[in-house]
Amino acid sequence: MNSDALAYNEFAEVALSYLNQLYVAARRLTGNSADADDIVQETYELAFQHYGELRSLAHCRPWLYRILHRQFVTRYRRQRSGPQLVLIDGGADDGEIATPHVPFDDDLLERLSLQEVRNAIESLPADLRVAVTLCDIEGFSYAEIADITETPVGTVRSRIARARAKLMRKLQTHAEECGIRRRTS
Amino acid sequence: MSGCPAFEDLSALIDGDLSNEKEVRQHVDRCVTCRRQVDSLAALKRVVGRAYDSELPSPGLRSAVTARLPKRRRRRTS
Repeated sequence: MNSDALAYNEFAEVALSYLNQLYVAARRLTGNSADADDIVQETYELAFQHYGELRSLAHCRPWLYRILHRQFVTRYRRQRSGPQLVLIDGGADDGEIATPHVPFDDDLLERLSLQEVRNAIESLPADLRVAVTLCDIEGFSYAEIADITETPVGTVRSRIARARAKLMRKLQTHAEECGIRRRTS
Repeated sequence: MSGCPAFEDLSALIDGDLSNEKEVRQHVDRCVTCRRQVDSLAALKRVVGRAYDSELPSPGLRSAVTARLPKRRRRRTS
């Protein structure tokens, strides 16, 4: 077996092992399974065309996420009017972060369904949603997220904090509307 | 440290991605308000982390992906 074939086989095995993770990431980004399927297929097509550029299989996962993210941004720019694809929330990186006044706790969170949490995540502006989910779900470091999204580390840090502040407020409000907020008096 | 750290610092603290972590952590250990905020952030991180645990791609996605992949370079037979 020659080295090209070996590299292809190794890459294919490693890359395809991330298919489920990439699908879930795409699902979060797009908000629907049809677009998620398309983005995952495009990601793998590009990855297999360019896998020779990958220095090491150890970097395969963040490299695939970077391609996925680029495909999402490209699609977003084509579908700019789509309600799910709000990339910037009126200058999402500017200004003070409005922090929640009353911290919530496990008690409140445990009363919310995963679907309610997913709804809150998917209502975030895309740049915030990408940053916080790459951190909290995929477990990437700030430096890795900066590389994947091609933004400075400081911006990643700010976006994650903004996403969390928004999620806290959204979940608090939702829980209160549903009558499941625990009073803190 | 004068005053409480910014929300952004508390957020980075729970990710272990803060340059002045020791200083901020010392403050949080003494400040009830910041400790509650950190506890809330940590709880939120856990919930977000498992929000998509049940999501799976359709059974046909893997075969659709592999069908569209560029063909592997053929090996020469000597």
